Amino acid sequence: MKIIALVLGLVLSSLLQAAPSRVIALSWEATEYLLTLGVTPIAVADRADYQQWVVEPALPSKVLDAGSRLEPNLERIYALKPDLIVINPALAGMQANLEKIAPTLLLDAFRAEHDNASAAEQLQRRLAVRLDRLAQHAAFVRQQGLELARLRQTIGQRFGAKPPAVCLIRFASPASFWVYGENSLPEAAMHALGLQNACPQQRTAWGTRLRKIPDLAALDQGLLLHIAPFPRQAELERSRLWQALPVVRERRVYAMPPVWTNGGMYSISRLARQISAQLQSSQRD
Amino acid sequence: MKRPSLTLLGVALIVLAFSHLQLATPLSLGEQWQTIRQPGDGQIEEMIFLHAHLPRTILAMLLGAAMALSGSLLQQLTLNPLASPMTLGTSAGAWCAIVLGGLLWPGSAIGIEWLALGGSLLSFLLLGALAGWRQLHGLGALLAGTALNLLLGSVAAIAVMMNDQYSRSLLVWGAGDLAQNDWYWVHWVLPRLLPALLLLPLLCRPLQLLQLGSEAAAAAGLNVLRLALVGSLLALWLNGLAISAVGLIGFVSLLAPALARLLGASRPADNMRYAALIGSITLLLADTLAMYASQWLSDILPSSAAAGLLGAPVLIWLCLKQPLADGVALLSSPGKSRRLLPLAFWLAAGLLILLLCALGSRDAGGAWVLGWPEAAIWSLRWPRLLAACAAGMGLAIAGLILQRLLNNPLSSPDLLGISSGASLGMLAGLLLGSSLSPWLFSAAGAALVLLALCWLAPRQSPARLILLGIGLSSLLEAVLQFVLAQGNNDSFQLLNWLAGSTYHTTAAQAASLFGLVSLLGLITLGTARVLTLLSLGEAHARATGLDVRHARWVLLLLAGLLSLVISSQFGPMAFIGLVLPQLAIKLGARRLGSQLGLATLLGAAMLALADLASRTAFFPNQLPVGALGSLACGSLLLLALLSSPRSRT
Repeated sequence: MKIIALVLGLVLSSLLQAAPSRVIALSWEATEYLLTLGVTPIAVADRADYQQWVVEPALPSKVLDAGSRLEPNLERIYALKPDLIVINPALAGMQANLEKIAPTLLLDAFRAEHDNASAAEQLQRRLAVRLDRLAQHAAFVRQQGLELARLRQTIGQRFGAKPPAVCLIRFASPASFWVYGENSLPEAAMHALGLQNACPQQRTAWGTRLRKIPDLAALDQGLLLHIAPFPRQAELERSRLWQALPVVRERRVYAMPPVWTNGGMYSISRLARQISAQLQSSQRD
Repeated sequence: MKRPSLTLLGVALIVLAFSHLQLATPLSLGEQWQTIRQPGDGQIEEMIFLHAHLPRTILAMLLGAAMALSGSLLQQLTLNPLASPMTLGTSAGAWCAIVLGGLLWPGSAIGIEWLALGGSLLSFLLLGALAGWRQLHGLGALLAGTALNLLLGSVAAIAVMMNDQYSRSLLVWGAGDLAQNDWYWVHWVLPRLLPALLLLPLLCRPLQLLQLGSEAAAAAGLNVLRLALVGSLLALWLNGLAISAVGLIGFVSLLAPALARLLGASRPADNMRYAALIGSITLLLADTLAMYASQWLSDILPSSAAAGLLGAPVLIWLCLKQPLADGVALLSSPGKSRRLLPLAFWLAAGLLILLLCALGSRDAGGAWVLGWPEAAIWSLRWPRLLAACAAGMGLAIAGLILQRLLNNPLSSPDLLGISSGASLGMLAGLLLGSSLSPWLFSAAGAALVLLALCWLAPRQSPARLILLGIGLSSLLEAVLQFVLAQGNNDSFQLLNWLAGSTYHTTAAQAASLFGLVSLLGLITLGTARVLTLLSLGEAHARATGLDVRHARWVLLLLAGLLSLVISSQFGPMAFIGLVLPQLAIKLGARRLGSQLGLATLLGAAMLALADLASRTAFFPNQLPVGALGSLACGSLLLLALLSSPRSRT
């Protein structure tokens, strides 16, 4: 009798403490963490834009839209009966309201005061603990370490001890661009590959800064990678100043496929893969 | 004042252009000369000088002149010393058209300048309809222009927010920066300035005639309509060119012709010549400041923000100095107004709408539902519904007070500058990145403006106070552009707030807002006698022994407090406070008590509907309630204007 009660108690308590399975992510970095851990959220914020701008990790088609990231739809979230809601600081003011629906987890990924890359690892781990997915997390970290080491090795084989530095940007207009500097995920990916950032920038919360095209004149060595697509590319390319930039004249400019720069560990891997692929192709011509 | 000669201004312009060129280049003067004489594929510094600095300087001069001419034309056509594409809302129309065009038909073949012209033309027509074509010389035109600015701005903001990733670069571009990469825009602008060069000399004489007033001019044989048509088209075209080339840059078009007039150049030909030169100088000066500041600022300061920082104080000073007709708009013209239906009917209708808004929603799958919500859903829904209703009621009451107080049906609380103060406070809160609640900052900003208003109120006429509010909103726009130009996440949070969102309201906030608005509404009801007296005219009020100055001060404080509690929560909401008191009159509520009651009820019902639409229209996405309410009220106004044939011409 005692044994049965004990077993029953164990079963009950494990049921009560079961890891959340119906999760809603209201930020894109949280969406990325979840998919990396092998958890399919029931809904994410700005679903359509995620598929266009983040692309990977791919969102299964059954995932619903929870509204915008700034103002997710509370009533839909309630109706979906989640058991965990993951948010970022943009929704910190709404946390009390969201708590009425389900337990929330605030993941503060981008801050000037901490290292965004290591924060990404810690936050994904926190989420893994909460979702009882530590094994998946550990496996991902291990596999990422191996992959980065392999990429680093290939670069080392190609370029020896001094691989070219890399400058990563996203065009904002034909006259200006956002550049990724200290504390950005692209720079973390570069460092993981043993590369230098060719256009270092002061530390900011997101690691990005808006700059003007003439600033690229200082880029006398290294590669310039810009994140495609840029709808006004033609306007940029017809510019005499652009054509006269050393980095353009020496054909050191490469377009990267769409890649998300404000994600987490998965984004770092993906950025590293893209950067290394560009480096490999750069030597061929 | 003795007028400095054109030569002197010309020399100043050349000196300024010269120093503008020296600002960011390491090349010596000799090397610069060499580069200009023998342009080739030289050093990169030479290329930067030749293809970035030189076109920037020239474009600044060209566009400065174009914007100034546009403003000068508008001021002479409307006989309004404070008219300009910025204050009349046509710039906002152009920008709105460009944003919508870019988002709805990306890569379409329509030239951006035609979008700009079309947008500004539409908003100009709206302005004429709102303020009355014959009243464009008065305060009414500026009030209508400011309301249009707010409305079109929130339409553009909604479009931008619904496409936030794509719009980031749109924001950076539209923020109005003169940075150039080549001569493309100079070559683009030059031929398009040709119509101006051909037409302006022809327009001088008719414009001179027009200064006599349109009746006298018509009597002297002038085809006033044709002049107005050609002149305003030309003005909008010139400003549209500038917007197409470099985005929104305000102020130059307003300040240059006004300064020219202050220097004594009031004849049309003189005014245009001086304005063009002063416009070039102003824009160059602003751009010099922007380039200089961007060198030591960690973020880029766009030229437009620099122009705003230079221009806003001058504008406020001008507002206090310029004589301006306090034109009474025609909206209030006592046309046929129907008999007021019994109170019970309105209460029943209002309750029905409130009930519909409280119960309507969409379920998880997106299907429409009308039914009593679960307790948890209800606890999510009622705070925002109540907050929206309270905001609508408060705005309607404040609008009514101001319209009666100023005897001007176009005045409304969002024009007092209090909401601009709240927005500026919010901005400061975001920029400082403080851990304090941003609402604290917005309330502080609004309170500061209210204090200034109360201090100024006994010293200045109410019309001037409104002008000050307009000046303040322009200052806000300048600072805003600086933040938006960075195109980062802060920009979007700010846009969201500016569009009037009730999303973040907590239960306690909603309840206290409702309580405050009700309290202030009751106080307003208590002042009914004073308000009625004041709206009969100042002399009349004084004759009955009323202390007019004191009464004004109290009423302004009342409207200001209402505006403060609402705008510090939700940001600016245009048109609501303007339209609803008028609508109440149209529906037959002529006595103050019934107008107050009906307007309040309408406010609650209107914003409750906006809240319902916000939750369900683009499910699961939300739209800001304030912007929806403004849109609804704006379109109501338009419908009313179109359906009531009035002798306007």
